[in-house]
Amino acid sequence: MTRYLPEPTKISKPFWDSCKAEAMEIQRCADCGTYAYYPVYVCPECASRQLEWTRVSGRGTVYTYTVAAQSVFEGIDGPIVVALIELEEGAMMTSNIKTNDPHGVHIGMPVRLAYEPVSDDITLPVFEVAS
Amino acid sequence: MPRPGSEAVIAGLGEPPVGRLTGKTPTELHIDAAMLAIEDSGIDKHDIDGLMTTGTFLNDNIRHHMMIGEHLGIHCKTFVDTLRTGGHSYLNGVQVAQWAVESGLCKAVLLLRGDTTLSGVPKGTSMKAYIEYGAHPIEFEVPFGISVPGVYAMLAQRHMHEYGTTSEQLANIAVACRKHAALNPKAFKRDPITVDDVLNSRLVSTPLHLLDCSPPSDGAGAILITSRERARDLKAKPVRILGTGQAQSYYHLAHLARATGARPEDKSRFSLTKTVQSVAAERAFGMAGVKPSDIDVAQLYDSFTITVLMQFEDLGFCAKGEGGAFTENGRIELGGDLPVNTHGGLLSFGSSGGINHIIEAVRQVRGECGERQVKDVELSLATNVSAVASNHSIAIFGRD
Ligand SMILES: [Zn+2]
Repeated sequence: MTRYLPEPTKISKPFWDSCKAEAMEIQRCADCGTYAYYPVYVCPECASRQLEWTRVSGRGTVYTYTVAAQSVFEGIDGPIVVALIELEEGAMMTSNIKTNDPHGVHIGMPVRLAYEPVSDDITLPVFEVAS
Repeated sequence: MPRPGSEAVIAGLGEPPVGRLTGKTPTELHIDAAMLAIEDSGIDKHDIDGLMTTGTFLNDNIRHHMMIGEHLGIHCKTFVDTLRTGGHSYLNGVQVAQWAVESGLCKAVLLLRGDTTLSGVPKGTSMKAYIEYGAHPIEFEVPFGISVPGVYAMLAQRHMHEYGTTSEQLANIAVACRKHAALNPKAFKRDPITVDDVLNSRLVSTPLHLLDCSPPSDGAGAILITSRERARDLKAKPVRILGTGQAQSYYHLAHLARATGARPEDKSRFSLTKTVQSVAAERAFGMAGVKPSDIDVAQLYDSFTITVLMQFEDLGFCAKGEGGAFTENGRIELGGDLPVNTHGGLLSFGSSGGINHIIEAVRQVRGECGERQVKDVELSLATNVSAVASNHSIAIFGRD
């Protein structure tokens, strides 16, 4: 199966644009301070519409993960690490951990944001093991 | 409380063969199941005025229930729907049917499922079909290579981290299901397996092995729900629906993990490993006026072994974190304190979605399970789960 790539929507375009610029931004609620991910129309915690695109530090930790023996997509060889990453800002995101030692990944491991261009338009936010 | 006599009961069951049913179509399986349930109950089909189906994996149709109704010649209905909440659709359907019967909206409701997710899906296309069906968030999870086993694997990994759950404990669940399937002539997978067989099977997505995952299977099921007083004139032994409950949370893993949007005081109650099934369970047990230790036999939705393990905790059979230990010493096998998935479950019976768990739960109350019958069943429980342990429904059945 060929890889599924995101198709940015009106609400998600700023996010994908920021990834392409390798400076990922997610929405921060100006009223309660919650960082929201994925992109939303109102703050899921306090329902405020005052959401501001805000650059994140890129620091995070592994909340949980799995090493899939093979990718579901063609053209990606070997095991891949799919993980749920808790960003320093509090939001969580599903992503990949790019590492030569997939079985060395563990919960609580510090990771840092990296970028993987996958098409002319799309760059995926992925993570690397923080040194 | 419904008027005496109007309480909903299960009054008919239909369960065609499961497994690899080459040549069968989903529509044909719906009809096969429906005819068996109509025959089992002895109902005049003209008395069926409620119809629910659950759609099909491929070539689904907005008018699915109408198409099936036409095939059956069930003309004028006063309630219909095609339920599409995945593996949770069937017990949701039982509860909706209960409301329809007890409110007087319907005299008798037929709930159907039939699909060929094994033989009807061309090799190598199931993942694509699953993604396009909307199984996972297509913009923010799918591009990273999420798969169905992968998300349950992430739950299992987190459960192991938080509570020390082991692969052996997960394997106990697969072994129990297989032992029970061996006693069920209809089951798809009947060759005995051991804990070592599970641990030595291919690692699909750590920590889940191939035998931690339910195999695709063709199959079908039908359930007829009517009132207690109508059921007295029918053929099948009626089974009471003593308690029902449901609860649903989210689609994206990140929001499940954080209980996004929950009341601040509730946030600590829910996480990836603490599902909203606990809310559904409180309702079902509360309505039935019984407690988990009163349950004689349980049919727990088992897409993966971890799906079952977390339910022991969220349903209240043991404390949070003790689900692993609960699987040990034969407790969940026939002869143990809580025999689980006596038909073999999705893991070994094969079956079709979660409808066969309900059928088995009802059969255990009727006392017609042959070699796998639990003695003197007073209370039987069934669950359905879908969408990464986020959609839950429960029913507790008992004798009339
Ligand atoms: Zn807010």
